[in-house]
Amino acid sequence: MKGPAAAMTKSIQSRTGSRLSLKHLSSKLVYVFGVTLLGGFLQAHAVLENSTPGAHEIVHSDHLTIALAFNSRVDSKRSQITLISAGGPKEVPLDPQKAPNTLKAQANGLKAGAYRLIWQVLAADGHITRGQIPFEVQ
Amino acid sequence: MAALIENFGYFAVLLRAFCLSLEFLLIGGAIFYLWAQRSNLGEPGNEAAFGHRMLLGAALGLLGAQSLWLALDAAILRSTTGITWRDAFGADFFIAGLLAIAGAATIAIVSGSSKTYRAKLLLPANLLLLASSVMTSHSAARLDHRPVLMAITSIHQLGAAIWIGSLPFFLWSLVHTEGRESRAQMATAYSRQALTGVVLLAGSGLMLGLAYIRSFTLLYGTSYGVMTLTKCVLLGLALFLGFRNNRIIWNRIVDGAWRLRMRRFTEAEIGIGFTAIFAAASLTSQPPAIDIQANRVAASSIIARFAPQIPSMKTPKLAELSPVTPINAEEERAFGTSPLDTYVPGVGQTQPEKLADLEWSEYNHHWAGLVVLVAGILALVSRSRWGRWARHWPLVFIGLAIFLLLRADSENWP
Repeated sequence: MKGPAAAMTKSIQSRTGSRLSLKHLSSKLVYVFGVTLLGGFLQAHAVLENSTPGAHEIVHSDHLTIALAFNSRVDSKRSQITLISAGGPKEVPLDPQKAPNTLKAQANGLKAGAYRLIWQVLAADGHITRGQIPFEVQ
Repeated sequence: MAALIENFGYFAVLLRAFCLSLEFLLIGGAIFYLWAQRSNLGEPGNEAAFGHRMLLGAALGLLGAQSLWLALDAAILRSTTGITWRDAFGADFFIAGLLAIAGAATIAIVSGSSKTYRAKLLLPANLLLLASSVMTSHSAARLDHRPVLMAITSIHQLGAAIWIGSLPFFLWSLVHTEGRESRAQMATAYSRQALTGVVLLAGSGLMLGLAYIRSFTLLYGTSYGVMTLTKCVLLGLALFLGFRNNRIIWNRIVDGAWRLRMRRFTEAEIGIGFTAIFAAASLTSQPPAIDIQANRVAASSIIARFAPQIPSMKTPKLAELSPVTPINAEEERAFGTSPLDTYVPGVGQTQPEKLADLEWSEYNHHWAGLVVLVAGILALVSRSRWGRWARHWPLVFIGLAIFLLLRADSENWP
């Protein structure tokens, strides 16, 4: 080998180490724990697309049919809806699931005042997501 | 349990990234063994040149990471909804996780067994891993075209494993295979294997992009789109290195200095490739771009943000910043919220940022950027004949560490 090729060969040889080991290989992957990993984990997976009640809606009844529709399949058996009012939190039992992306529940005996609907769903891909909807009963 | 919930968001992403990387490594290792390595298994000593220990290590790693992930997710689900352990164990993600554990355990066992057992059991064990991974991908939760999307996702992940997942095993064999001809044969077979992987990955990736992103505005205006772009750039870089190696392989000069050069390219390709896999793991925690209606970023906002300007070195006072977002479940419920926001338990909800928050973050970013700039300049200077004094440039990061210690704020930066 002559000329530039020989020079390059020499240069490459001078920069290379000895035999490959697991430790050596794993050290090459250390920088993987950089910005790529936590790029945007604040955002959750299941997105609420529609809801009854809507955010800040005023409800004029002591009975409310809660309906939540998501962008993805949710597991109703492992999801939950809770209503929080001045009287404290109260879990609302879910109706049997009719569509794979919806949750329904019946809330009875609502008293006038501010409420917060807290939902938590398990998406079909295993992501747990929460959200809340403030509304008022008059 | 409260502490567990508080850190759930962080651990969830971390464990998913580890599981995905190890799954790809194992599937890639098996395919490499059955394809590229097999091309010259007849040669004495070449069986020993396969990375058996790496396969065993990855299988045990996946066994641990997957078990931890299942235990964590099931415990969080149970504690936040009050369901029974039995119900938690019946969830789809738990069944998917058990498949991965079964696959990893089988690989761990056969990695040290005879050649015949290994060849027969590696494929079914890896099919379990692939099934597990697809069951917890976006495609499994889609409402429309679910079977088609799951099939495309399988091809996408298989392509990534065939190319990126196999790379560490290729590198191992490159170093440990004795004999020039034998090495060239193995490298040529791997080259064909990697090209197949690239075609599968790119073709299916394009289809998934059309399904989940669909428009150019969503590509740059959503987190999912931008993360996908990042993944594409990383894979493009890895592909460039791969093609450089290809030239060496097809000229059959896998020897001497060229072999060492190829080794360096492959090491860089592994680093970039697995970074792309971590980016992919991060993508799984994002809703697909087409599902994002609010919080899309307009092109004008991006252009305004990237427009060059003199960095502001003015910091607001600590007291001017937004209050800390509660992460305790009870406090979280009482916290003033943005309606319809969704969030992961423990991560807490984002709150509207004040001008002072933005200024705090920007001030910190500017100083961090300056430190990196100084480190880069010193690194360059250290390569010159008269700049030997600058070879200790990594010490500059001690300054950044102290700065972080004093200025880090969970609400704003980093």
